[in-house]
Amino acid sequence: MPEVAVVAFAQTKFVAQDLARDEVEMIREVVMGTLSETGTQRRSLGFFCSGSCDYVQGVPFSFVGALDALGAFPPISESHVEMDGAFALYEAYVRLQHGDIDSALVYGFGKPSLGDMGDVFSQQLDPYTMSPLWADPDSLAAMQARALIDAGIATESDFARISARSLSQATSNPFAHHGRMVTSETLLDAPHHRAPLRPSDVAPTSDGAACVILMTRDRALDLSQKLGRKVAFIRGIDHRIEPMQLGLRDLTRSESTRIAAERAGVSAKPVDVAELSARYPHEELILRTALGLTDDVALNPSGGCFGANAPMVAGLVRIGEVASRIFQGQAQRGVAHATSGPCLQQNLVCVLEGG
Amino acid sequence: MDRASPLLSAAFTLEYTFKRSLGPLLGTFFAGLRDKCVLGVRARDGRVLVPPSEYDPYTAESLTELVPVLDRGVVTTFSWVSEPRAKHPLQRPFAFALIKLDGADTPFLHVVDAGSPTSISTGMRVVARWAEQRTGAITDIAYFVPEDHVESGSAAAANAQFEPLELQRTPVRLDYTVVAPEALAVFLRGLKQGKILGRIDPATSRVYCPPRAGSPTHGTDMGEYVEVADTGTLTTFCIVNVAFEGQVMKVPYVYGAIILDGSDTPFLHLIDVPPEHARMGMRLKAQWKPAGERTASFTDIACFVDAHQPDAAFESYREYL
Repeated sequence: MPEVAVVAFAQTKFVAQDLARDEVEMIREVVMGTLSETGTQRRSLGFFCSGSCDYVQGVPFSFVGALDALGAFPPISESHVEMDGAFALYEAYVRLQHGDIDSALVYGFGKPSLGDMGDVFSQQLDPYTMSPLWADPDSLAAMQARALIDAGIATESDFARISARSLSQATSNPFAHHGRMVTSETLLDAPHHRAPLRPSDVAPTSDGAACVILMTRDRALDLSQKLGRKVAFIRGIDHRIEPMQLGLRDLTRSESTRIAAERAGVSAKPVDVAELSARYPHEELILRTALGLTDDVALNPSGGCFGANAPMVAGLVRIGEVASRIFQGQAQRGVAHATSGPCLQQNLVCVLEGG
Repeated sequence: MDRASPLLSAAFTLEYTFKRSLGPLLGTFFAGLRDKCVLGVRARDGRVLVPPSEYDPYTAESLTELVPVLDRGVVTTFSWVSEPRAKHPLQRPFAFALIKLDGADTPFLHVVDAGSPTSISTGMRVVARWAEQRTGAITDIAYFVPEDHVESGSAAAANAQFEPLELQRTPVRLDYTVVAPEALAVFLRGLKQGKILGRIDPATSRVYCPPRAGSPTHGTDMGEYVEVADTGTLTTFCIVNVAFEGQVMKVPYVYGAIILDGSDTPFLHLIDVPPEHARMGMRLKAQWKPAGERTASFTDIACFVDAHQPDAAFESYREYL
């Protein structure tokens, strides 16, 4: 089975609302970024795969219009998932397992500023029994947060601590737009947004795009030598899903993340860094436990989703952030996590190692 | 054209008037709700699942045994919505909650009208308030209230039989603000001025009209904007015979791909010629709305009409087919 490495990563500087650029222009920046950084010719890539959701932009087939960013003529081998770019990366990884091509380019994009994500994501729920109630993600997340408190696993102080840490860490991330230096005491003073969650416990959405290039072993190592830096090999990757109906799940745990972590081999060796797609502080607590991460792991040094949270991009960015630290020699082994669906319904875990 | 020009934006509503087929299991569940009865389904392991699931979550086998449960039960978790969103089921502060009805083994999502955040707690008992008008939908339960607000409950109709409903209306409406990206904004502003603008792709020297943000074939930067003529040659077209909502012209009418003089890509628009006269190679010209009626919209050109010129030779447009 071919070994696959993340060899390049680029992300836009995320903003609350990108009025200057459309999807094509955002994607072109990150695609050009990875191609020029690595000196890769677009036509030498074997497969292209993107993650996005038409309902974020309100444009049918928005991912087809986005192909102008790639130059899809002569025809290219291309695929798309109506999900975060991290899941597009998983598809590209599986495609590379066939062994007939040696590279793939993966991107994700989202412009949530065009619509109301509280409404949009309420319509991805069960159409018969849940969507007619228009339950927005924050309302559902708050139910999961309360379940943790009721089970004695967490307190609102724990939430504030995690939010404060994440927001503060995000200030040193040049691609984030939502960081600020803040203490948990200050955050606890604010009234609730969706009790037990406060406004600072909710990662607001961002416009932006990200891109990753994957290569199989030989080509990845050649590039590594040419660039004089490491590449990040995917040593394990797995994706599991739980039922849509919240009543069929134990909301205090993420069984799908636990299984995905086991299958991806997270605990086979020490983990230096972990980037988790936690949009709320209680999600970080649940995910840490499910992944079996110990206290010495550097957790979301980028600030995670609290610094920038573009739907359909944030998960791919987590993979990219871990890969970047491996490229720069700051970490040797890391875990990246992506999620989709209400209350961490489905989860992808990716283990990366420098090579 | 500079980016500093005020942005062109427009409100846009994405609306689906879905009618969903329910199937036998959900059809019966919703027929039950219409008659103020909540039905659960018995899973393989004997648990009663609410809402009913067509397939067992662990064994995947079909589930068919529906059992009535009570319309009252326990809050297993909740979140307080102090400022309801426009589409929320209640427009006063309320709670979303998972509620496990008596007789059911799984909680389901609904809402509780508790009055205040201190009047609801995990473990609290609640009772359904049924909607006056019920159609066979989850909203046939309008909301739940704390049980101590209600006198007596209704026992489950033990042997109730329900004819499954076939369809459920689930209208969806999502609102957006669409912002025109630069190339489109330039094009639309041009239309308002009575000009049709295309854009050169330096990689191929071809003119794209309407203009694009990147070269669709090379992914590279596009070049200068150029004006193309408002006359052109009709290539392929269709004759529309089916009426649909929002239609501008009466059927039958012609809709086709026009290669405007100076452009290398087809311009799709309505063509106001008798369908029996439409033919490939026909020369057309734009019929503009009066300047005062133009709004920087594609419809600033109302349609295309016969230019009364000799037909273009096939060789002149064959590469655009």
